[in-house]
Amino acid sequence: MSLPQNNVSAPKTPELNCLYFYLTSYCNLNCSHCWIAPTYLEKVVAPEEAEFALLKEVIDQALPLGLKSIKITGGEPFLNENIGPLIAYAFSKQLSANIETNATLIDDAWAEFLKENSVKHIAVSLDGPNSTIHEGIRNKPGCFDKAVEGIKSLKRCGLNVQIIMSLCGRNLGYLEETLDLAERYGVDSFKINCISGIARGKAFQNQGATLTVKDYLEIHEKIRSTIGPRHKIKILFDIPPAFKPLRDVKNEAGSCCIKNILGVLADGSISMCGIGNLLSSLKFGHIRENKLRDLWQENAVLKIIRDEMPSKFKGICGRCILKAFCMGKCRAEAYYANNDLLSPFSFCEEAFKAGLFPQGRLFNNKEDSHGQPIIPAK
Amino acid sequence: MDNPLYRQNKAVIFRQEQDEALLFNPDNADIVVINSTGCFIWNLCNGKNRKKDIVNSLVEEFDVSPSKAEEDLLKFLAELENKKLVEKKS
Ligand code: SF4
Ligand code: SF4
Repeated sequence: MSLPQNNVSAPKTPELNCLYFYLTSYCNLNCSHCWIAPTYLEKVVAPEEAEFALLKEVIDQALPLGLKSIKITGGEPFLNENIGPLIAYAFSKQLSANIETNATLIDDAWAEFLKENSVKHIAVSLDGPNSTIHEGIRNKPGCFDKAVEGIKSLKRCGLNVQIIMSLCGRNLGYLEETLDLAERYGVDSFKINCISGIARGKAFQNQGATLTVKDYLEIHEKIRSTIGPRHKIKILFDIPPAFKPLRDVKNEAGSCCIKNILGVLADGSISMCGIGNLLSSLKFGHIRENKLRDLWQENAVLKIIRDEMPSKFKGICGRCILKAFCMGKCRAEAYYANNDLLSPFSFCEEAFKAGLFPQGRLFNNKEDSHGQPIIPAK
Repeated sequence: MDNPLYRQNKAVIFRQEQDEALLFNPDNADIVVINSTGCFIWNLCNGKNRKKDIVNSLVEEFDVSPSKAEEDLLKFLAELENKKLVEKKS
């Protein structure tokens, strides 16, 4: 018996909830571990990239697809003069806006503007408690004091500020002092990032400047048992959820929402996320030439993301009970490393090979592993 | 339907770690973390126990009145049912 076609509903395209604006491909710092690897730019204002009308156009086309929020990042987004109009436009459309910045260009006037436009959350990169440590990693004299002044301005306006510390061999011993600094300035939360194995992050890894998976897991445990209880600030550690205690798995965001986002690059290209800055195969089109709806509905990479994730994940991600929740942590990094969007996330794969992956987070032999038999049939 | 049977959804992943457990359906990302009382109830949702059996077990095991046990149990099971982690049968 065949069913009449109109009884079979087409799978629903997910909502495009968030646009990530990589507003500029320039940065006024030169960080050793940056995964975007923007071009260093000394002067304060970056050459104009996509004009504001184009950014507005992306938002207008994304609204009917379900847009609810934007994230503005870069490079250093405050180098691009369009940041103000973009934030104001998002506010006028009742979108929630989050910003990632090094804070060196933020003064009281900017902080007031962000407050007036209800920016929800500002994540500031700070890799240490003093200029020697922070500037040793970010390679720009004077950037520590400027970042701290920026944080103070944001907090004076009552904005929600998060410090992001990228943890590596050079600043590991300064974690607690950096937490103290965050508390001193009334920062709302503190996120610890592992160094990503992309672009300069990869080179940093190759120099032996990053930490091993074992180091990250040890420090995660130390934060839970001793460092965390000594501090009031909310600490988030960006390791994959397989390594988190159950109660934190759900409460701490640990994965990207890859099924519901698009990246808008500095020149107006549309991409999976910021990875399109490095890999043109993950650029989907350009807002001047393509309708966003067409890209969102038809792009072949997005189809793989929708149809094959997480059911066709390979390696450890295919065996992980949290795969539908985690979505393989960072698919950009997996693709960058293996040229395969379904390949395993390196942190978890390494942990598994070293016997450090928690057995309880794997499908066991009796359970259906959802398309990935753990013991292959003979 | 006043005294229904409860049965775990067989597709659901259950992992107990120390005094809490994680429950979720691997086909969606909806995760529930439950405490030791939740684990106790989950284990009783075996397709044989009815609501009143579970209430009686709770009253025996914990220092709780039957009415409070029933109120909390129904709230908890409604959430699990909502997330398709348990099935209710009359
Ligand atoms: S194994 Fe993959 S799906 Fe599981 S926690 Fe790690 S990255 Fe996420
Ligand atoms: S895939 Fe990776 S880089 Fe891209 S948005 Fe997700 S977490 Fe970020």
